[in-house]
Amino acid sequence: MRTLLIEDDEVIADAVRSHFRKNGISLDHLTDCIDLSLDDVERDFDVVVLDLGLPQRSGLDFLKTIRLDGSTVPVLVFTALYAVTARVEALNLGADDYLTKPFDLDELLARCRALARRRGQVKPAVLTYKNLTLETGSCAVRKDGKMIELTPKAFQVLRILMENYGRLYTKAMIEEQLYGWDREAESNTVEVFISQIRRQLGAEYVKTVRGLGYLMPSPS
Amino acid sequence: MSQPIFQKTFRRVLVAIVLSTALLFVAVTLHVSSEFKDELRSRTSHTAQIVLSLAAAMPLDTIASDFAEQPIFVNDELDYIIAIFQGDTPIYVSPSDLAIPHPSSETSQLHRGAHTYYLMHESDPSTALHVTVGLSKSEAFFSSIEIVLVTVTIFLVATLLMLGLTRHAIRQGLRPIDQLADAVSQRAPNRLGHLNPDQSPTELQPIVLATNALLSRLKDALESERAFAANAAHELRTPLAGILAQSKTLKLEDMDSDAQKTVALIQSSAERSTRQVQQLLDHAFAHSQASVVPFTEFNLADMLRRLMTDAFPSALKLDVEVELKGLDVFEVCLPETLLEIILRNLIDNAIKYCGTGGHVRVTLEAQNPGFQIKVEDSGPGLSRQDFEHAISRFERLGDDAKIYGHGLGLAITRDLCEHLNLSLIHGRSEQLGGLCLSVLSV
Repeated sequence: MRTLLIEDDEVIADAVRSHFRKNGISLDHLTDCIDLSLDDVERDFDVVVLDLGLPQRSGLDFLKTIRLDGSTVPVLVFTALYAVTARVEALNLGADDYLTKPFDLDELLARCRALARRRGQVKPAVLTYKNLTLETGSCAVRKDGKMIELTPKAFQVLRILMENYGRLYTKAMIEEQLYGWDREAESNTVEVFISQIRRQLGAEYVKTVRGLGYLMPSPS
Repeated sequence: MSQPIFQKTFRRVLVAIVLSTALLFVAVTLHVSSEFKDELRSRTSHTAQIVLSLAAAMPLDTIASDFAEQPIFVNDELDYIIAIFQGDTPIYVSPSDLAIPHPSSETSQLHRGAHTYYLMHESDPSTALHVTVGLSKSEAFFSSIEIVLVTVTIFLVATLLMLGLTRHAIRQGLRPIDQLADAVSQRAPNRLGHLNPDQSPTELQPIVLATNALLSRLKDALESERAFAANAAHELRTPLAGILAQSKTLKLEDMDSDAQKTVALIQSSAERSTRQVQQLLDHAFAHSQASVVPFTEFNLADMLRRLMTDAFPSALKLDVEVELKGLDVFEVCLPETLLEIILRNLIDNAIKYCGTGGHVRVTLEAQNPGFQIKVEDSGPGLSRQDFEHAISRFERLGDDAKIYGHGLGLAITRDLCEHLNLSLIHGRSEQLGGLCLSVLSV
C-alpha cells in the first residue's frame, strides 16, 4: 500500500511518516499539491491523505479537481478546520473518509488500510490477536495453532475486526466493506457472521457495543 | 409603534368625507329652504291671483257653492286655506271655523294648531273683491327636507363608492411595501443575497438599496467571523495535533517510568487543550452562525451512531461502556450542525463524568409529536442546583483533577436548545443511577 500524505505541517507529517513506516507502509510526503497531477496520483498511490488547510492551494480545490477529472483514488481528508462545517463539504466533494486534527495515528492507519483494501491494494498479511492468527492470503484462521473453519464472509468480518482491533466498527461500516455501497445486505447479516465467529472461536474475542457495532478490544 | 400608513391615510380620507358630507348637508338644507320659501311665496301669490280672477268673473251668489268643496285635509290639518271677501264681508272661508284675517290687516302668517300658514292677499278694486290664500309652511318644509335627504343620500352613496375605490387604490399603492416586507421577512436566515431592485417601484428603491447594503455588511461580518473561527481552529489545533502525534510515536517501552509519566502528562494536557479549543469554537460558532445554519432533513439515529462512534475511543480509554437504544430511523428537519454540537456535548460529558468503569446509555424515542433523546450515565449525578450552576458559562462539573473540562459545553448546549426550541431537561437516571439529561423537541 503506497500512501501519499499532503500536509504542510512538518511536525505532523514527521509523526505520520514515522508511524506508517513502523507498520511497514511506505509513505510519500508533499507539503503542497500545487504541482501535483492527476496522473501522478492515479499511477503511484493507493491512498491519498489530504490536509485541507494547505497554504498555496486549498485541499478541497485539489479534491474537487481530481474528482472532476475522474480520479477514483481513495482520499482521506484531515483538517484542523472547524469540523461541523468542513466535514459535510469534504464528503460532498468526494472525500472517502474524514478525520479531524488532532487524530489518533492508529486510527489514521486503520482507515487508510480500509480505503486501500476497498481498492484491492493490500498485500496478503498474517494478522495476530491474542492466541489467534489470520492469514489474509490463504483465508486461514488458527486458534492456538489449530485451524478454525469459517465461512468466507465470517472470515472477512473477523479480518476487518482484527485489522482494526481497538476500534469500534458499526454494522454499516462492516456491511460497506463486505458488500460495497451498491448492495443492500439483509438487516441481520452481520449479526449472523458475528454469531458464527463466536461459535467457532469463543465469545471473548468480539465485543458487542449495543446499538452501535462491534470491536475486538486491544489485547493490552 | 406608529400606525400603518394605510390606516392613517384611510382615516384621514374618512374624516374629510364625513366633514364634507356634514357641510354639504347644511349648505343644501339652507339653499333648499331658501328656494322653497321663494317658491312658496310665488305659488301663494299666483293662487291668490287665480282665485281672485275666478271670483271676479263669477256671480257673487255662486261663489260660495262653487268653492264649497273643502280643501284637502292631511292629518286634520289643511295644506292650504282660502278666504274671499266682498268688501269687509267674507263670502267664502275655508275651513269655515277658521277666522282668516281680512286682507286689509296685511297679516302674513296664520297659526292653526301646529301649522303655520303663509298668507298672500290679492284685491280687485273694480269688484271690491279681496282674496286671501294661505299655504302651509310645513308642506314646504317637508318637501325641502325630502329633497335634502335625496341629495345627501345620493352624495353618500357616491361617497361610499368613492371611499371603496380610495381604499382599494391605497391598498394597491401600498402593495409594493407589503411585498418588500414579505421578501425580507420570509427570507431564510442563511439567505443574505441582495433583493432585486427592479421588482420594486422607484419610490421604494432607496429602501431596497439600503437593505441590500445592510445585507452585504451582514454577510461580510458573518463571513469574517466564520473565517476567523476556521483560521483560529487551524492555528490552535495544528500544533496540538503535532504534539499528540509526535508523543504517540515515542517508544514508551524504552523509557523509564518518570519519562513515561511525563509523556502521559504532555498527552493529557494536549487532549485537554483540544477539548477546550473545540468548546470555544463551538461557542463562537453557536453565537455567530446559529441563525444562518440551514435546516436539513436527516436521520437522527444515524447522527447519534456517528457521534457515539466518534466518542467511543474516549469511552474505551476510560473503560466506560456505551450503548445506543431506541429507534434505528427517525427523520427530522433541523439545523444538523447545531444539533450535532448539542448531542456531542451531552455524550462527551456523560462519558467524561460518569467515571472509570461507568456506563452511558443514549436512547432515542419518538414522542407525539417530535422526539426525545435521553443521555443517562452511572456517574454521581448532579443536583438541580448544581445543574443550574453548571449551565452558566465556565463552571466545571467535577472537582476530580483527573477530569478536565470547564463547563462551557453545557452552557452552549442550553443556548442552542433554546435557539432550536428544544427542551433540555435535567433528571436522575432510574436505571443507571446517575445524571439523565433529555433533549425534547417541543
